[in-house]
Amino acid sequence: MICNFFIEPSYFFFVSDAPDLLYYSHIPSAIVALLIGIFVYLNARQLLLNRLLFILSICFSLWVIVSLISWTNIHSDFLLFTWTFYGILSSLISILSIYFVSVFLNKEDISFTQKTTLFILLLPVLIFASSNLSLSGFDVTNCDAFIYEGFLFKAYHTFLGILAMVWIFILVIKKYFVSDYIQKKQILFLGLGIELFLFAFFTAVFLGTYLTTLGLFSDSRLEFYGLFGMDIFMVFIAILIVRFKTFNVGLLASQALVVALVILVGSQFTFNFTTTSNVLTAVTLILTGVVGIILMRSVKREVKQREQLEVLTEQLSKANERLKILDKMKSEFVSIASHQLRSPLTSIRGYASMLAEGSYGKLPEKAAEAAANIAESSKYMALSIEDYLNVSRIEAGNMKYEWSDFNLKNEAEKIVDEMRPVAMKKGLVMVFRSGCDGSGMIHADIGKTRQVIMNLLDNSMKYTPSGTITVVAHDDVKTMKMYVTIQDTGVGMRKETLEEVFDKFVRAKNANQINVTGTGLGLFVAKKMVTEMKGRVWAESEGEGKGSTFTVEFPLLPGNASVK
Amino acid sequence: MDTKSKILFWIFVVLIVLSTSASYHRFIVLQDYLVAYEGECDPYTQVCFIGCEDDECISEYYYSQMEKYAPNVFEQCGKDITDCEKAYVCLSEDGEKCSITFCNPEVDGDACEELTEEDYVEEEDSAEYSDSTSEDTEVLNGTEDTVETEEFDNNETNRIIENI
Repeated sequence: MICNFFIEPSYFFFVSDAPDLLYYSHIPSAIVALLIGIFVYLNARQLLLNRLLFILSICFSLWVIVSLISWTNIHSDFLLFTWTFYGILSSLISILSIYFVSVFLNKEDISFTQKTTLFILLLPVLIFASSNLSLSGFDVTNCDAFIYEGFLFKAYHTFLGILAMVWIFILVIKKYFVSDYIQKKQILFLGLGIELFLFAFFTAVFLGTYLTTLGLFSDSRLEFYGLFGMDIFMVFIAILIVRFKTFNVGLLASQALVVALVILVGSQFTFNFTTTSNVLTAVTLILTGVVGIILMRSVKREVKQREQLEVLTEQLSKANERLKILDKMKSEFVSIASHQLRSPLTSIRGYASMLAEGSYGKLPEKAAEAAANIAESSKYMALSIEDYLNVSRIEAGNMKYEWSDFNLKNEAEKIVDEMRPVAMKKGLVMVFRSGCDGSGMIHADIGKTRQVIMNLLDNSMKYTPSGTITVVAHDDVKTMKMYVTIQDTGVGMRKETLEEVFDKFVRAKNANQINVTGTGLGLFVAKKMVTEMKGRVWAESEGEGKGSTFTVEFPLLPGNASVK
Repeated sequence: MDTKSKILFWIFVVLIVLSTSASYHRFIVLQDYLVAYEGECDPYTQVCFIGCEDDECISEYYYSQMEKYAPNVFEQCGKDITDCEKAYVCLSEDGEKCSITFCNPEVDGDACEELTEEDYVEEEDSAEYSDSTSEDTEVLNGTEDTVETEEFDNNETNRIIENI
C-alpha cells in the first residue's frame, strides 16, 4: 500500500519536504562512521579490534539508512520490511560496543563464555524480529508503524542499549585503576566516547519513538539529535588514532582535520536545496579538497623528514657517546704509553749527552756527532711525550694548577732571554719589548703560563726560517687586561688554518715542508691551559708568507693598574 | 578464532539471514500485516474523530479509524485506496480482520465530534452569513473609514439573524 498523502521519494529516501535536520543528522554521521571504520579496517585488517570497529560502523550506517527509509518511503511493505531492522541493528550496536570495548581494554579476544552470553542476549531479537511481537501493522495515514510496534520487543532492545552502557562503564572503571598513565588516557577517551554515543543514541531514539507512540509528539524527530552521538564517538576514535596510534594506524592530525573539514563542507548539501547553494558548496568542496590534499602531502613530507632526522640524531648521539668512550680509552692508553716511554727516554737522552760530552772517554768525531744526534732527537721525543701527557691530563681533567700572583711582563722577558740563544743558533733575531701602563701582575699558574709562552715561541721559531721574532708585553688598564704578543716573520697561515690551528693534532698544510718534528699538540695544550687560567689565546696572520702573530691575554690584577 | 567461536559465528550469520528472509517473506511476499487508515464518518449520525486539514487547524474534517488486513485491501483496491469504496467498509470476505473504530468521548475526549440538527442549521447560517459579508465587503471596498464598515457588518448580521 502507498501512503497517498506523502510524496514518492527518489533513490529510496530523497524527498524535497523532509524535516529540516533529517539529512544533516543522518548522512554526515553515517559517512564519518563509515570512513573511519573502513580506514581503520584497511590499515590493519588482521586486528580484531579494527574489524569490530568496522562492523560497528557498518551497523550504525545501516541503521541510518533504515531510518532515512522509514522517514521518507511511502511503500508500506518495503517500510515494514526495513522497520524490522531497527531492533536487530540497535541490538547489534549494543552487543558489538561491549565486545569492542572488551577487546580494546584486554588487548585480546573475549572468552567463548562471554561470546555465548552476548549471543544469547541477541537471540530473542533475531528470533522475534519478523513476528507480531516486533511489528504487526502499518499506519497509512502517518506512514509509519509506531502504533504497531510491540512494546516488549522495543523495550528489550532498548534494555540491551542500557545494559551495554552499564557493562562498558564497569569494564572501563575496573581497567582504569590498574593501568598506567598513557593507558588511562586511552581508556578515558574510548570510554567517554562510546558512552556518550550509546547514551545519546538510545535515549534520543527511545524517547523520540516512544513519545510519538503515546501521541505526545507528532513524529520522532527527536531521534535526529541522538545520531550526533556517533560523531562525538568518532572524534574520540580519531584522537586515539592520532595521539596514541591506537588500531595500529598512522594518521596525522592534519589529515584527520582535512577529512573532517571536507565532510563538514560536504554536509551542507544536506540542507541546501537551491541550485546556487549547491553549486557554491560544490566549488567550496572541490577547493577545500584540493588545498587539503596539498596540505596533507606537505605535512606528510615534513613529518617524514623530521622522523628521518630524529633517527639520524639518535644514531649520531649513540655514535658520539661511543666516540667519547673511545677517546677516553685512547687518552688512557696514551697516558700509560707515554709514562712507559718517558723513563727509558730520559736515560737514553742522559747517556747520549754524557757520551757526546766525553764523560765516558773521548769518542771519535763521527761517534760523538751520532751521540749528539741521539741526545737531540731524544729531547724532541721527550717534548712530544710531554705534550701527549699534557693532553691526556687535560682530557682526563687531571691537570693541576697552582695559582699565584706574578708579573707576566717579567716572566715573558725572562723566557725571551732564555730562548734567545736557541733562536740565534737558528739564525733568528728575538726581540722583547714592553708597553705596560701597569705592573703587569696577573693571577695564574706561573709554570703553566711559562709553558704556554714557551710553546708559542717554540712554534714561532719552528715556522720562521729567517727574520725576527718580536715578543711584546703590554696591557690595557681600561679593560684590565694583560697581553703577551709573539710576532714572527715566518710562513704565516691561511684564514681557514687560523680557525683550527688550536685544535688537537692540527698543523698547517705547509707545516711539514718547514718542520717535521711538530705533533700538532703544542698550541692545543697552550689554549687549554690559558682557558683554564681564565685567559684567551688567538692567532692572526695576513696570509701565507706574511708571518703570524700569537697573543695571550690574562686578566690584570685589580689595584696594580696604576702602579708603574 | 577457535572452532567453537567459528560455529557460534556461523549460527549467528544463519540466524541473521533467516530473520531477514522471514521478514521479507512476511512483509513483501505475503503482505501479512494490518493496515490502519482514516475511514469515512458522518458527524451527524456517528461520533467522529476530528482531523485538521492544515497546521493551524482552521478547517476540520471528520473520520473514523479503519483497520484491515493488508492482503484483503490489495485484493479489493490494489495499492492505492484513495478512491476505493471497498476500502472504507468491512466486507464479509474481510472476516474478523477488519474493524471500524469511532471516537469514544470517554477515552478520546476532545478529539471527538458529534453534531446535531441545530449544529447543521448554524453551519448553514454561518455559510450564508459568510457569503453575504463577503459581498458587503466587496461593496464597501474603497471607503476610508474601516470602523464604519465594521458597524455596518454587525447591523447586517443582526438583521439576517432576526429574519431567520
